[in-house]
Amino acid sequence: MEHALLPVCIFLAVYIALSFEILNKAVAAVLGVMTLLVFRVIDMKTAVTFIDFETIMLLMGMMIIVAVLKKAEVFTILSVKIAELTRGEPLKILLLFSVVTAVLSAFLDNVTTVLIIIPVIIELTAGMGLNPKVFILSQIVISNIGGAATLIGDPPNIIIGSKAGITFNQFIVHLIIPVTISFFLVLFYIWVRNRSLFKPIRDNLATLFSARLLFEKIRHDFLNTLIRPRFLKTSIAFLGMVIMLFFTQTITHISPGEAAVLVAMLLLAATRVKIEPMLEEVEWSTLLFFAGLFILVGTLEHVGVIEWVAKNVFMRVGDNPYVATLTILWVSAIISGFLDNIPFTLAMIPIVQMMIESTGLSGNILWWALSLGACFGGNFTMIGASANIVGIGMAKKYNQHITFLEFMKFSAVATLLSLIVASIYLSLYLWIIL
Amino acid sequence: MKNKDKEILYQHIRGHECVMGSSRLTILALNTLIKSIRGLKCQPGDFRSLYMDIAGALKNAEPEITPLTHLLKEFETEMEGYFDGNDLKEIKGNAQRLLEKKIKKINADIEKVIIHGGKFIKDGDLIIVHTASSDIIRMLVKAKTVSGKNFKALLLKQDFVKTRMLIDALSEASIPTTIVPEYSLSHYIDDATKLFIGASSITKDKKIVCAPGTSNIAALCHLKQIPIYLFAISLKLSNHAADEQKIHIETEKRRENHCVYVLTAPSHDTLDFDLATRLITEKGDFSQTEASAAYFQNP
Repeated sequence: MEHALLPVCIFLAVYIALSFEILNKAVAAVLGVMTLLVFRVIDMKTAVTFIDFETIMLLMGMMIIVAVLKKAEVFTILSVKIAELTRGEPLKILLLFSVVTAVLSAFLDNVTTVLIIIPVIIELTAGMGLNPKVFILSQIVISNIGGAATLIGDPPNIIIGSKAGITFNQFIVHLIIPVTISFFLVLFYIWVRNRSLFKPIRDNLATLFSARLLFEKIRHDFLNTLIRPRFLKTSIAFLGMVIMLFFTQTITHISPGEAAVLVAMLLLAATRVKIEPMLEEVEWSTLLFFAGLFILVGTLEHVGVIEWVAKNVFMRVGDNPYVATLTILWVSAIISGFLDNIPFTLAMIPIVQMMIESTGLSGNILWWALSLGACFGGNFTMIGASANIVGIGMAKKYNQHITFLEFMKFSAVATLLSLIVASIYLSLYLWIIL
Repeated sequence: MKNKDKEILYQHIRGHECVMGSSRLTILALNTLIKSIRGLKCQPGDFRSLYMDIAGALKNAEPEITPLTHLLKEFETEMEGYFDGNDLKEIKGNAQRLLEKKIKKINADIEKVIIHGGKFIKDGDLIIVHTASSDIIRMLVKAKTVSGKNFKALLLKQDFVKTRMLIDALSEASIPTTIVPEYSLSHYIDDATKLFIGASSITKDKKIVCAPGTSNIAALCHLKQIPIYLFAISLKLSNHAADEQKIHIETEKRRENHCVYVLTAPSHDTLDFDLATRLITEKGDFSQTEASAAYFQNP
């Protein structure tokens, strides 16, 4: 612990810089790593061993697959079909788009989901004279809830899955219940809070007319989109393939990271798309950010800081499994609500591992607590998750300004409700396994 | 209907009118009205007021959609006996039947304009095409594919969506087409033989309300004595003057290369009717003098 001061200071500085967007995330993380290297806190060889390539591969593979799917206009078709299915009924817009957002968030990353859904829902709701803000906020909150359901849905889960060796199926089986209950409960809360907005339009001829005229415009714009059926079918088939590989991980022994990169490369080869534009769609800065963070947290672990925090903070809660589980859930949620949940999750990995060893708790319950806390907690404030920041930024582009307080007024109760669901679920889970 | 809702509705209307022209927009609006009436759930006694709400907004659209206004007025007169029935299903059924009749009427008029207009396409013509009017496109396509006329088109590029529609239609019919920017017409004008234009409406004070940019092109053609053919169904003759057409003035704040400015763009041009050499309607084709006598002295 005698060499801990500098790594701790660097880690805190990076944490503050990226949580409050003082610096670009990748720049902040790599700058932190470079400081560690320059001051010889660690050497380059050791630094590289801290990088979790499974996580990096999974992110990169999925980013390439999403880029090709976008090029094939899969998301345009999906959005238009959903818009048509709603027939302009506000409640149907909320329900159908929320289902699509939740499912997309579970299988793609939340930021991509928000980037796909927000423009369509703004065009649809603003074009019908409805207040788009409620719909924008609902989709952001739902994307964070949906993302918690699978190993690939949200970065904290990717990290937990990779570091704790939890499979895709284990994630779905254990988290689908709290995620589904939270999804419906939050939707119910949104409906209750904005009941007047969701009144049916079928008794108003003028609104019915406006909505149908808007759909004609959406359909017309869609007809001008170049759809290549073969390219489209191939892309969807490969998306199916990667999801299948995630589900059959225990049989094939192909890890999610390997599956994602393998399918991404096969997809590029099969569709013969130009590689450069597809690679430009990969968020290299995010991958760099992850690599940098792995090194920063690895260094903290290396110098004994994590062990100290685990022993002196988390293990003081005692041996009671209920207290330990709920502490992880709520502490993760509160911190993720105000600070970036990715470095937090990374820092918590060794702590949770130590807690599992000391409490002897089986069934991965502490991992589920960390996952639900980090994912659901991200909804608490506008800066709690990347999807929130990107969604709000996207809304601003369409002249929909959402303030920090507006976001929190909407999301705080939704976050609380989902955390209560998670608490009850985890307590019941413990009661069953103990 | 609230003002905010009207503004949104007019925005949709302008969006459609810009790419399909006012005749097709009228058909689309009538079809949309039929579908909306089908989906409507209300008390039979409320039907009239609900209809009047949307019809009032449509008849006062910005800009005026003249064929739609005329057809809605005709519909209201014919519907008068049915508006106050006791059975909603029956009211809706009658409304649908009468609206379908209006669609048939405008479609028939458009077909006649296409037939009359086709006569003016000759072998060896180089026709300047500017508007995205689907009637003019259909006329050109028919002249090539059905009548086998050998002519060329000089397509003036506007915004991409409009130009793309024209390119797709003309190339599909194998009509040789040269595409030039609107502002480069002067380089090609000496080879051109005709200008075909459509209209949103023709006002009672002898003005043509047409797509933005048409005025400049028509003025140049007039100067070079290139005949200008105006294709319009009679339903486009408005009871209002040009300054009552409620042409929308769009203002947009723009930023380009550190320069911030407000761009003001009217949604339509107005053009003197006297610039049109011939008017082609469903009733036939008229010279300038005949058209003026028929439509403006004894309307």
